[in-house]
Amino acid sequence: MRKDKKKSGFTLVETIVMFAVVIIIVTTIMSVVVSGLKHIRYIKNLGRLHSNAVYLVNTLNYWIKQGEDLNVPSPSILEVTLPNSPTKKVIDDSMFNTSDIQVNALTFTQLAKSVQISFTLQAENEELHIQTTIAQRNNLY
Amino acid sequence: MKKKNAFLFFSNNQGFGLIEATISIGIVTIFIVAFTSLIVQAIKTSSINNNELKATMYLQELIEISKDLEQTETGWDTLTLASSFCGQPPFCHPEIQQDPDTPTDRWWGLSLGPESPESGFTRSLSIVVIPNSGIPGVEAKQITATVEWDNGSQQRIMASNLYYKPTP
Repeated sequence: MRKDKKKSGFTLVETIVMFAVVIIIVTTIMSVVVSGLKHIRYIKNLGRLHSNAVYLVNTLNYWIKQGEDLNVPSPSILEVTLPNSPTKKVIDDSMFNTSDIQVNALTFTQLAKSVQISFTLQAENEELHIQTTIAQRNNLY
Repeated sequence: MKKKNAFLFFSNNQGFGLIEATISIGIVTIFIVAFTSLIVQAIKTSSINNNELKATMYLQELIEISKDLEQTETGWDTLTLASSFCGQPPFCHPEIQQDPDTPTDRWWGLSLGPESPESGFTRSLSIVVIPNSGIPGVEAKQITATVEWDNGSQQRIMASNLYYKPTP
């Protein structure tokens, strides 16, 4: 005589509860991970903006310090007359644009013996605005 | 002896106990908290670095502006005049002056008190005359640039000397 087969496995209620719990856990983990990755990307971009800003200021510093005379024909162009050289070094944003970092609104304001520089660097959605001044080299000391 | 079916391990009709459920939720919570705190700390560090970079730029700008004033007779006179009131708080800050007749003719001037180049940042410049520069015929001044941010909790100071040789 055949015995009654014992039923095993999950009931419908258990399955629904399990799915609900799994969905909640996965959604929470995914939202945390996605938000984290977004922030990691932001931090990475900011680091790239920093290093580019330092490079840009250092490059401008290099040219301005050794320039004999400075001229700003338009707010986006700086002409540096080098000592004992007939040519002028022309500096504008095209010198600093790279494939992933864009230099926006690079403007020069000429003053008596210095140049005020203002620019905005952009990497994807992140922006960094910098304003600084670089003086010519003092011939006395 | 009855042989135990391996598949019955998962279908012994007992389900998860309270301990298993608690442990699994605990592991997930630890992961989420650790990851979130790591990201929060990274954002804080990034923000601190951002402010330090800006502060350094603003500080360096004050020194460079002083170096501009150091190189001309008019600029040196401005520094000499400013040293009478810029040596003590509230110190001074630089301002661009403009000739109304020729707007392209600009130069640096000094005004009393600190300035805020950007929200959250305050900077000032102190100018003190050095009585004896140590070099015959050369005048000297000591400048101290200060920048503060994060409501004054962070501060960076840079000092330098300026020299000028008046034409006899």
